[in-house]
Amino acid sequence: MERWIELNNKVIAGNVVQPQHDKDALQVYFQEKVNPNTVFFHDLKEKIRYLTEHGIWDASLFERYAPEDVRAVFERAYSYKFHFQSFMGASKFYNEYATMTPDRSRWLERYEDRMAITALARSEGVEEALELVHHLVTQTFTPATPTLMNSGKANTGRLVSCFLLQDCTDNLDSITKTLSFVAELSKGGGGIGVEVSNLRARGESLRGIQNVTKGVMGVAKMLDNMLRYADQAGQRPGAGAIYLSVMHADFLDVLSAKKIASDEDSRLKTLSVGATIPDMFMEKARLGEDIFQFYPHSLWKETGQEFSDIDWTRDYQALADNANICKKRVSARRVLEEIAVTQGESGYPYLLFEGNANRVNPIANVGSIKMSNLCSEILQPTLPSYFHAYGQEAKDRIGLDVSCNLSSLVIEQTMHSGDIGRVVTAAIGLLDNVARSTSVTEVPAVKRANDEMRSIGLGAMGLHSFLAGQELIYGSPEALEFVDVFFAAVHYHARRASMQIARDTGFVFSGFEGSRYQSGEHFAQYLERDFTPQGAEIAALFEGHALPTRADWQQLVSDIQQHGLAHSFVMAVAPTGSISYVSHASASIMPITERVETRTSNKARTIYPMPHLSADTEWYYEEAYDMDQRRVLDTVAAAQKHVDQGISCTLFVPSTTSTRALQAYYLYAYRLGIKTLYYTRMRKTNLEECLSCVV
Amino acid sequence: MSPFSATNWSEPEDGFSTTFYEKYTSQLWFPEEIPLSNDALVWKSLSDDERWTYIHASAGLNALDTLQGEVGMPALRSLIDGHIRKATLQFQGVMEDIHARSYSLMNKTFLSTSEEREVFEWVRTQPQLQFKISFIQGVFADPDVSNLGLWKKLAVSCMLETALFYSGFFYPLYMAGQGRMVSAGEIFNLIILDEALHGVYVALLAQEKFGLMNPAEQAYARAWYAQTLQTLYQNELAYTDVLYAGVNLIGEVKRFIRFNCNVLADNLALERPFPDKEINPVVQNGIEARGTTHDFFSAKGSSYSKVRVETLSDADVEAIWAGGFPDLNVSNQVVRVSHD
Repeated sequence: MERWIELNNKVIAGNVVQPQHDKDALQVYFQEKVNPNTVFFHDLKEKIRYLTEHGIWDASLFERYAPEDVRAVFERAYSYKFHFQSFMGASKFYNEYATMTPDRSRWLERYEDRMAITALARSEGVEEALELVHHLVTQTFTPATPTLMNSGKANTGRLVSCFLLQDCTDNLDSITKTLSFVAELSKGGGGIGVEVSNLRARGESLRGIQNVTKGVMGVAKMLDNMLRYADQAGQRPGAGAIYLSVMHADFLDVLSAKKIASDEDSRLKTLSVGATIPDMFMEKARLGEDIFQFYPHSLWKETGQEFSDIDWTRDYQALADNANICKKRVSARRVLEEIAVTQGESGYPYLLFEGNANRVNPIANVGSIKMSNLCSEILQPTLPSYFHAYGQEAKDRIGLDVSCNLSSLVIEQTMHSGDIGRVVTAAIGLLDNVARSTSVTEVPAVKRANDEMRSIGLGAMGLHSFLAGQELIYGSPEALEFVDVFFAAVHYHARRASMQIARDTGFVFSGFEGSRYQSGEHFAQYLERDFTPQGAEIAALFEGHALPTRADWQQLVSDIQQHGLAHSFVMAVAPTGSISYVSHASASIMPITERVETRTSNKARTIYPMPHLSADTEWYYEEAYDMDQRRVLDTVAAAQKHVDQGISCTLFVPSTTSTRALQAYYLYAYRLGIKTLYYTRMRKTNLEECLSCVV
Repeated sequence: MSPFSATNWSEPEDGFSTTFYEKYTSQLWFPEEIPLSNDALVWKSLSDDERWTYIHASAGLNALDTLQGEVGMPALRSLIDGHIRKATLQFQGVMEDIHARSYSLMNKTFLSTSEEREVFEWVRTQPQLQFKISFIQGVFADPDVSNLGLWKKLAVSCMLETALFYSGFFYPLYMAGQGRMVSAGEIFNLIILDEALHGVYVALLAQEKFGLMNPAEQAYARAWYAQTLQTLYQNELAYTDVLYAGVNLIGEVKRFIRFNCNVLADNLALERPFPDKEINPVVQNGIEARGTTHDFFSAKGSSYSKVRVETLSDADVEAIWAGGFPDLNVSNQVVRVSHD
């Protein structure tokens, strides 16, 4: 057995946690694994020549820069004397990001090399590259995995890996087209959300023959299989989520497919499920009334409307009263309870509160928000595509899908940098570059959306680890104030950078005309009051940072009206997995789940003590499962006010939780204006606790 | 003959059986939930020796779980009094059968039909494995049903659950901890989670019987236990020599067996037979009976279970709409069990 694995496991093998073993593991990992197995080059010139000649690095990249500029960027990368803080971070990076020889026996890149090459690839001039490499190496923000992994490579994979498809309309051509899109995207890795509410329900008629269709489950099973089949040459099976409206007649069927005791034919093994929930449904749940769930094909025949186009709050009553439309009656609270039961058993479904998302949709002029992605933080209007049989492609209508282009600020390093504005501006510049460098021609509606809307999503991670380091309690009034001020500032600088790009390049996203950005409505809250710290404690944290005032916002709003914006969306808070380990930050803005994590993945089991875990910080590292989840929801709600898209929000509950508690949290989240809930995680009572209550 | 009564869950027969029953049923699982085929490529990358140890370790466990499901648990269930206790033991028996099926599914996923046949034939002829099984069968079949006789049966059941399975568990834990055969590792995790509970529950019943014996019987029981453990321990060492020779882990596995014999002694409230020694930390972290933090996109995770259903009341809803929150510690009246 490899010695660093053994040392790393020693962190929790004794009676007390011993984080120092992790430092030993880290050291031994470099001494015995990384250093002896890294290809040696005498100098940078030799390294570049070798890597470009062997088809690893993109040779054209080095034609864009003078040799001394390339050298300056690499020198800058190495000048920070970067050190990993945990074995987890180092092993994640060297296993998943650093380029290796084709037989995967030796490394060709060190951490600094990957950052330097990424900075060069994602910049247009040396000044920009020097600025970017500063942020990448000091980890003020970290791009999403595909951008960090693939930038600057000759046979580059995609820079983005998360997609939303609304192409699955109710006919066989669209269904098979969607399957082929999913295969194509899954082959390159990443997650795919697919909206399926337009599919006719089980038992509806097909070509006039009654009771023959297989419903949403038929398509869901094919997606499930396809994602496992196209697995990036065996590296990792694809991951996907379907989004289905609770108003769809198949909703409960699909929900059951995630339950434990379903039979094999009706189970969805790896496909995730998201539920879209309109306001009207929440109102019925509040009143304890029944709802009707509708059969889409019957609804279409009667009204000519696609299921996903229906405004439930406006049209529900008329549809319910129409005797020509097939529907079934069920108690709204019972549906909510089924959702809770299924979440308890499987973690799924995700919840998308349509009303909350659409009330603040800044580009309602483009369309409504009907779905989200695999991590439920992407919320943008989509428009369905319509595909036709071979030979009739000319009749195809290409709608709007989404590719998610993400990066996350590392809160601790951003705060310590002393200049939020500088960090955010650099991050938006990188994301803009990724959008311009991306062209997913295989899926026309994804390409169209990226070309026309150029949406990006800047998020943040390491909230809990930052708070613990500052001796602030997660979810406390002070912590909420910090979140409010921080995200308001990020929003300002992100929007400003987007305006500047529009101003300087002349590119304005399509749909800006008529948007709530143009009218200024989207920024109303900032013109009403300042989002600056009230208490001295929080004010001290922001010392030195330029925080936007009402006057700044007024100026920005008028600049936006004059120059437009380059991006339809600029923010989204992703859950952050691998990159938070590499950046030594707790995940996203969620509380930590364990002071010392035991992480199982296909790579190995790794033990990860939280950043700066010590006797002093331990107390501030309250574990998520021990918290009243309102603290998590309050935190997310505070950030959500400033985030134009969504936030991945996980609920953490002990196994003793009942469906009632889960439902109460759903309603509480809905009332706070939270747009989505990601999965629910349940902690099993372990044997000791279990025994302590009985013996 | 006394009249037959119904099970009254409102009047527990003891302080722990109901809790164990609820815990067991809440962690019900089926092997089909875990995408075993995710490991198919890894399986191909293992060396012949690694594959041999892995699959034969599982096959041995299959035989032991079959023994527990078919002989051990039914024997205990028929001799222990109390409807709730019987129900709890019966559910354990069901899970033992599910475990056996999981091992068989692994064979089916990773082996060809002829390889499968070879493995099952090996089980039928492996001397240490057959000795272990027939020895324990003998104790279960012993007609002595006095407190002492019952205690012996309970004690050997615990030996299986807490110690004798672990020569087989070592290897999958060792592999999964290094990121190899992770999906199969999930199945082993789920099984270990079950066995840990079974071992503790049956040990509690055993302690109860032990307490009912007179001092002379207790002394006899201790001596019998020491001798039995010694016999089975020696047999286990020989089994380990066979199973682990190809992968060079014999010493570590033997240490692990001694470690688990000590856990067994703790559960039965007897003296530990071996000095405390550190075991492989990767394996040790693998047997921690708790859910693991999970990479959601690659495996299922042993952290999910059935949830308690409790209806949301009008008062709860109104509290939230009024800007408050219901007191979740005060139970609503209508509580029912999920019918799924």
